[in-house]
Amino acid sequence: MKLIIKQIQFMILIVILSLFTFGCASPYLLRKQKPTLKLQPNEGVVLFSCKFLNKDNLDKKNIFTVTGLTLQEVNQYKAYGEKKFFLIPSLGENYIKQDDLFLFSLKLPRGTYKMTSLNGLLRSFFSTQYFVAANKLFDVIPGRISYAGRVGIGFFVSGGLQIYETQIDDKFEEDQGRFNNGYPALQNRTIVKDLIY
Amino acid sequence: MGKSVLKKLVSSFLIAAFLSSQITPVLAQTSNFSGSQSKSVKSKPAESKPIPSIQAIDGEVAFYLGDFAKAGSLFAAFAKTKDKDFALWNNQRGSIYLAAGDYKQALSAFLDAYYLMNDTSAFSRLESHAVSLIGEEREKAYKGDPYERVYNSLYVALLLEQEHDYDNALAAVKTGILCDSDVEGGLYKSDVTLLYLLAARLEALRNNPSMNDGYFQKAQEAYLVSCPKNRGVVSDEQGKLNLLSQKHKELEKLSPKKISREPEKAEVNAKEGMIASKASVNNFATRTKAEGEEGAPKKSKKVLELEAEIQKLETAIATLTGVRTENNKQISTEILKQVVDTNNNVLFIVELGRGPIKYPIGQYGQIAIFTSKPFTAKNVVIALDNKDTFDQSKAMLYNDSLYQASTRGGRAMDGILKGKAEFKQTTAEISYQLSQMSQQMSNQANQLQQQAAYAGTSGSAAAGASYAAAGIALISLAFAIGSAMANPAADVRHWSLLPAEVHVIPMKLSIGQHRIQIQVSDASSNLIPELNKEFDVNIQEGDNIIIKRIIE
Repeated sequence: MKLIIKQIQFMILIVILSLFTFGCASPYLLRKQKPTLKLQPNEGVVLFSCKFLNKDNLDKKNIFTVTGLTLQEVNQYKAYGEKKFFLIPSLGENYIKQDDLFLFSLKLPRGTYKMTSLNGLLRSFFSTQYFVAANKLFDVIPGRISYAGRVGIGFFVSGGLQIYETQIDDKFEEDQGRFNNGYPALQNRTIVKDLIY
Repeated sequence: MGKSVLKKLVSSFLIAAFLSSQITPVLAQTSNFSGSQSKSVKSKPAESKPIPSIQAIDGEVAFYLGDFAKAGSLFAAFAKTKDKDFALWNNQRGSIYLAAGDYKQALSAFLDAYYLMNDTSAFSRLESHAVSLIGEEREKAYKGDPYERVYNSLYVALLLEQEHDYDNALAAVKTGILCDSDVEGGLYKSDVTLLYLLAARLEALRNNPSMNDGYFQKAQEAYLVSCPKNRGVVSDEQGKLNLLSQKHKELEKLSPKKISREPEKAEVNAKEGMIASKASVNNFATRTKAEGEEGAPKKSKKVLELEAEIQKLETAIATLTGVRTENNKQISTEILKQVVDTNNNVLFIVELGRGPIKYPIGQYGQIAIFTSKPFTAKNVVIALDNKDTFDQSKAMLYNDSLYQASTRGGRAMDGILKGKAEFKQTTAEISYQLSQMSQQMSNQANQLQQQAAYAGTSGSAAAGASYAAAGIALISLAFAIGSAMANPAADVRHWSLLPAEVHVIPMKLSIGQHRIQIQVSDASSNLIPELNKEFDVNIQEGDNIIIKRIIE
């Protein structure tokens, strides 16, 4: 009986691990080892870069790695939609050390989306989690790879509390090459500037 | 044997779970936001009733990609259903036909929308359900916000003017002016300059100079208020006027009834965008002073504070009005005369950017707000027959739809939605508390039952606690159902194909064929060649309206 329980526990563990390995990768497409980019006819891609600003006020070693984000479809023709959380795994692979920049992407059906918040880690995987409010809109155009901008995460102190905030900068000229050259799936693909607003 | 069967069962279950987990993530890429689409594609044949929630977005995307044929056919299919969104579909269709240069179809679509948007009795049954606790605001028929009704009237008027139907064009302009006056903030009332200019021009075309002057005067006032130089001041002034009205109301509650007429007057003034006259304030002070002398009760500290705040606000408003008056001296209204002058037989209208996007915020999406997508095309230069050029200095600017959308003030519906949201939250909280209480009571009942079993007693107390727990659970369920049924989501349907800015360039052109080139540049005057346009126009006798949309 004990053996059966152990076997069941092991299989449950495998199921959970498989869920994490495959289930979380859904909106994610920037992988160094992924050479192609397959899009459904109604899908488009949105690219972001992310940087932790005002490092001087905190530890200089700080990097902000985006581990997930909350999105909400903005569709006037539909009833009020739920917010959905997207996990972005493979953190280390998308951090460019020399530029101190984190890159991430989303593959979504066409439409307008509201990025309500960014979820990220400062420094390492086991450091503190931060939810940073964004409340910005971006568009997904079928078949198009759009650059939505650089999300700068900054903070200020108010009433003794550290408050995190976002700012969006147009760094298309700088980031375009990083995306095109850094990821085989984006090589020779046109990236259109369509900033988050 | 039993163990083996159990093992097989568990293994099969886990394999099934594993496989389903593999299928789900693959679908998750597209089904997170479009699950309904895949279902509808499978279940409905192509010829079936169109599904706006899915295809309307395709229509919008097609429009902004310049595929007017696809966008037009999609929205035309929706309009055929003659549903509660009939006016919305027709406004969208009108914008598409207009961008494609099909003025006849555009006028027909805008007129269809116009009749419904200005018909208060249409779909009235849906409205009563929408305001109910369980109703959703979007269930009511779309009739547009005031700014949308203004733009609809404007397009109808322009297109009727193009057809030389000046009487009906003027009627449409007057409807638009009426819609524009349906605004909360007094200073923002009737600030759509273009409507007044059109009214003045149409009156001139109808040989009615006395009316022409009146409308032109109004156009000047509207232009000065909506000019970017004044927008910050006007916003501040309107905010202070609203606050002043509030303070007067508070004072009214604290003051004896004899003087209660003054605050009402102040409220009217705030709505009309005027400052309460010094005389009335002095009058108020004099009377209260007189009453004090007559032995009336002394003013409370709160009343004195309110009076001081009112005085401060009035001083601040007077200062802002002074700033506005000074700014007005620096704003040239010469271009307005050119628009009204009927010797200029062509009104060339260039539309830039995307109009306001209305979207929900708040826990339940109960608040609707506006934003706009930035666009690069800011300036246009029009070259005529490779000779004359018309740049920004010859254009009437500051007709931006986001400004009109965001200065319309609150709606009565906002209060209803706020109430619904509060109800939803409160009932959800009560339900949660009751369910916790029920659970605790149920645990207690179990303990009592066990104690009764050990003691060998009847356990009537345990049974009582059980019944009470069940009763509370039922009440909790009722609250949860009530909470789930309340729907406070704001209606965010809006005319999403409107332009962000409308530039009007009055011209005097000879009758016949002309070659026109539109050169587009950004805010720093850098040319954007891919947005340039070149085309021929055939100028006819009478008024000519040319509308061109720059889509990016």
